Amino acid sequence: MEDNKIVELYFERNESAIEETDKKYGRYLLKIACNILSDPKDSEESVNDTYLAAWNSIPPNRPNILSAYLGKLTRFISIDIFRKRNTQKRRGSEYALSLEELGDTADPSISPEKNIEDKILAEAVSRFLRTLPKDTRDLFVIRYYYLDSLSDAAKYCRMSESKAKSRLYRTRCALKEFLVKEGFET
Amino acid sequence: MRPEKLHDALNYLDDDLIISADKRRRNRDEDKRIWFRIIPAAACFCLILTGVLVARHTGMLDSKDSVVQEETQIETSLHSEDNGSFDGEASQSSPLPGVDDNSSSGLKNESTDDFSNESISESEERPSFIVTIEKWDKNGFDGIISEIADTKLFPEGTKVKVVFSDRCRILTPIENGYSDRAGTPCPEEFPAGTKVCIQFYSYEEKDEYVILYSDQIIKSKEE
Repeated sequence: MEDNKIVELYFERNESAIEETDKKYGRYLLKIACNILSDPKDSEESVNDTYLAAWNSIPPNRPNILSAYLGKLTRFISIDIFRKRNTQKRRGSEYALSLEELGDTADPSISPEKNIEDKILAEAVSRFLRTLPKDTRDLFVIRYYYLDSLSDAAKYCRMSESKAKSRLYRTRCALKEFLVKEGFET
Repeated sequence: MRPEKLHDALNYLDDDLIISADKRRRNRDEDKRIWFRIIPAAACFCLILTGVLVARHTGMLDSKDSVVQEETQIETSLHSEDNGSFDGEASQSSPLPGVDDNSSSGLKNESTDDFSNESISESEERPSFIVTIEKWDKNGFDGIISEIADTKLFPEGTKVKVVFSDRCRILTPIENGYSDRAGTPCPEEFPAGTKVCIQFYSYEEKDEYVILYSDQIIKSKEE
């Protein structure tokens, strides 16, 4: 079913909207959740919470690209679940691994910013990513947004793991420089 | 800035960047699915092809009417010492139905024969005898080996019973060689007393005679 038709079902408050969403995007959302949580049960919970969040937010929101909208919801919810879990379970997660990597770009000693500043930061990161070659840009998003493993990310971008690793390292360093120039505290 | 903050910020990344990256992930997944379909299909095709080739090789697919296409005129000689020599490694073609597998049939590969290597026959490399026809019956004819052609499996004077296969070829002399046609020889064409060259693909030794399973008969030029 087309995205606009699924969104219409949400607007009509037709419960088959959830069914159609699950049919079309269930596996996609589960993969995002698994990458963060590494636990099948928690991942399913995250996806179910996503459907609830979508039901509650559509309307008034009318997403143009449903996959991106749902993906962001799942990512947000999964990271939230992850933070609430105990330290033990964190170890197996690609999210935990990527936190260590992104430590190159961010200094953990400074306190968290407000939500609005996240969006400003996101806008800056988007501008940075657009300056990169498509391969590198996609690699960065696949690794740090979708949180696929380094090995999977390298395969998706048709490059060796070592090449992907070095490219990501250089991108992180370049991102840090960019954010400093933009006035963000890193 | 904490790394978690950067992660949170990525949640607000522009949609087109997310979609572009997801397309790459999907293409790769689709490639994998395609390969998972292609590989089993290719394996099945190879199996079928192997089966067909094996079946053809063992003759399982051959029909009654199928014949190997050869030249229509064959130059060969029946009686000269330049007759093609049998190299002793003739192929074991399929025997006629009814052949007892436990009998001493088939082509013997023992090197008891002394084969001449002066010349090689242009026809199929099968052993042959010059046989004088004595009497016809429903399956072929009874005869006697009157001359050794290219094999010394049996001596002159050996009584033979020649049985023709469904794929028999008949060679009859014409001006510049031989005409070649498919068919089963008949008494009218080869009456008793005719000397013929019998090429055989299998034989069976009985007490008082030898059965030659033949798929080619060549009428002598002298007759």
